[in-house]
Amino acid sequence: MELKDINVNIPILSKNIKEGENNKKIFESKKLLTINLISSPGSGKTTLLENITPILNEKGFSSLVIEGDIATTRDAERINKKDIKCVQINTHGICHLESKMIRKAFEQFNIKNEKILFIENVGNLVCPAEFYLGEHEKVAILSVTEGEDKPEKYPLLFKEASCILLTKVDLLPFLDLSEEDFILEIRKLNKNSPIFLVSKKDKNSYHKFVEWLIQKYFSIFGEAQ
Amino acid sequence: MHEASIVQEIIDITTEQAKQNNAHKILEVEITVGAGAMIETDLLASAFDIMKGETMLEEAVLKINKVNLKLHCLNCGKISESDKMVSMECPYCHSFETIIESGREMLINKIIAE
Ligand SMILES: [Zn+2]
Repeated sequence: MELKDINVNIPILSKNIKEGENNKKIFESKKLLTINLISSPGSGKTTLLENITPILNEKGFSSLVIEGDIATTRDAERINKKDIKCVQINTHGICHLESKMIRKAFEQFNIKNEKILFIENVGNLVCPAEFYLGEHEKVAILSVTEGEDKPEKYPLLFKEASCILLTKVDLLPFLDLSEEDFILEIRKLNKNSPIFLVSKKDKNSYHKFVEWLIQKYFSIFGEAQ
Repeated sequence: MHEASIVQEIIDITTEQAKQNNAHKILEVEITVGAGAMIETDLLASAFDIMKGETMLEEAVLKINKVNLKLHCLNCGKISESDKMVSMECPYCHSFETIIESGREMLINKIIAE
């Protein structure tokens, strides 16, 4: 048998990127601002969605949620109770979502006039940052209980996130840390993206993030709707 | 970790390439992995050995070229290299205002097939 030396020169994740670009075209044809939420497990992604989707609804920005989970459907059940259209992806142990999973999940939605699609990625700070899904923005979520040194340990996500949410800030008085400690660490890596402090104890704390989402929507799809 | 997904992509892409070149068996796969690609190369190698069974790559050897992460410091202008993705801190002036010049790549370079 003749041996063949075959030059390949193909990025390993090129297919995922292509499928992500394809997803983005679909999202834009439906006028959906798409947000990829990335955090550690237990950082409060589901609580965040439970709290902001009603506010967004009131402002005429109803949303869709794709919920990524390694094994359970519990988060999706929580979201569904809020009357938000939610599709669950069970990754069966895989630590991140991929573009083709998003495409399949998205086909299950009966889309009316929703304006925002949230993708709640699998709880993990490393792998999801490497897989583009076709989103417009990556949002990093960090809870104060994880400690202020998290961004330095996972710099890529915090460097690339277009917005960073610091959650559970009502617990700061019980920790040996202040909000300035967190902001300082995040700012080392990311000078410009907004940092919003939120807590489920203070529903008003979500408004700045909601405003940011609405501004993003208008900057992509224009004001006149 | 996402090593299994990476291996699946390697298998899919190289199989396609081999078929296009009328080959039926892949003997070697050469890839390049940057230190900033967030991949454990040991895990990648073991995942490869488990997953290649019953594919065209059954007898294939995986050669991994590791390349360092190169950080360009915007504060002092120096370039530093690291074999790990630990921090974005410039080791010379300790500034975090750095950009990644290279070292995030994950690439299939070539295959040897028959
Ligand atoms: Zn420097």
